[in-house]
Amino acid sequence: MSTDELRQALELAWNGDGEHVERLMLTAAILQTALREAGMEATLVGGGAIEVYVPESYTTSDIDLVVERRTRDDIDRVFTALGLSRSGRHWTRGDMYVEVPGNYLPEAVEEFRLGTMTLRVIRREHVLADRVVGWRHWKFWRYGLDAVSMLKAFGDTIDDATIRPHLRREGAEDAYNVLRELMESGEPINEESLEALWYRHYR
Amino acid sequence: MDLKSVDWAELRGMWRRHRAAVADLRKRVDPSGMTRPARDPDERAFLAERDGLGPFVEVDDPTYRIWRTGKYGTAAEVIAKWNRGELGPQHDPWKQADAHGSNEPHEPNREAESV
Repeated sequence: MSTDELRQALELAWNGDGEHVERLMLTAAILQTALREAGMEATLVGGGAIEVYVPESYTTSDIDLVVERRTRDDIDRVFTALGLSRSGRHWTRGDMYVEVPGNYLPEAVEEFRLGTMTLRVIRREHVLADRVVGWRHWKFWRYGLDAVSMLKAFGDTIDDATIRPHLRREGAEDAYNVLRELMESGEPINEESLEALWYRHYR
Repeated sequence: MDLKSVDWAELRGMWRRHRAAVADLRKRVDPSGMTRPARDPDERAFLAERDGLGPFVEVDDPTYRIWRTGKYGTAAEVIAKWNRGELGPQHDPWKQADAHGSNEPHEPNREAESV
C-alpha cells in the first residue's frame, strides 16, 4: 500500500461519519500498517484499547501505540509522511493525538481484521490487569472504575489463566478480587467509595 | 483501500453485549474528582482546547510512567527502586523522549494471539 493511499485513508477514517470506536480502530490500523511497512510492529494500548473492547466506558482521541523494532526518528518519518506533525513527545493531525509510550510489549495481543488491514490491540486481560495495578499501586481511582467497567463487560469471558499470573506478578491479584466484589455489590462507584475501599484493604 | 468494505458485524455484536452489560453499572458511577495519571502537558493543553479533560484529578508520578515501559520490573519493584534512588528522572520515558532518539530498537514481540 503506498504512502499516498495510506494518507488518504487516514483522512477518510478519522474524519468519517462512523461510530467513534470504528473511526479510532481504522485510524490505528492505518498507522500500524504504515509502521509495519517500515519494519515496525505497533500495538494499541491504554484508553484506546479499552474503547475497542468497551466503547460505552471510554472514548478517546488519544491513540497510544507501543512501537517495537525501530527508533523514534524512524517512527517520526512514517508519521510525517502520513501528514502528522511532531510536537514534543507526540504527533497530531487535527483532533488526532498519537503517543508512543514505549517500545517493548511483553504481553499477548489480539488481532482484529479490518478489511485488508490488521489491528493489533493489547489483549483484554492485560489492559484490565494494568488498570487494576494502577488502582492498587498508584491509587488511580479512575483506573479502579475502568477495571470495574471491564469486569462487568467481559463477564465470564475473562481468561483466568492469563490475567491471574499477570496480577500475581504485579502484587495485585487481591485488588482484582476486591474490585470484582465492588462490581457485584450494587454500591455506588465514585471517588469516595474507591478510596475508602483502597484504605480498608491496603492502608 | 476501501474502508467501507470492513465487516463490522462481529465487533458490533461484541459492543452490543458489552454495552448491555455495563448499562446498569453506569447508573452507580460518578467519576467526578477521581485521580488518574498526569497527562503530558502538551496533551493536557490539546484536550483542554477541545473540552476533553473530563472531571478528573491528575497525579504526576514518574514511577507509573517508568513501570509502563516494562523495562524495570513490577510495580512494587519500580516503586522500591525509585525510593532507594536506583531509578530516577533519567528513567522517566518523558525525559528520555525529550532527550530524543531514546526509542532504541528492541527484540520483536512474540507471536500475536488472534481472536
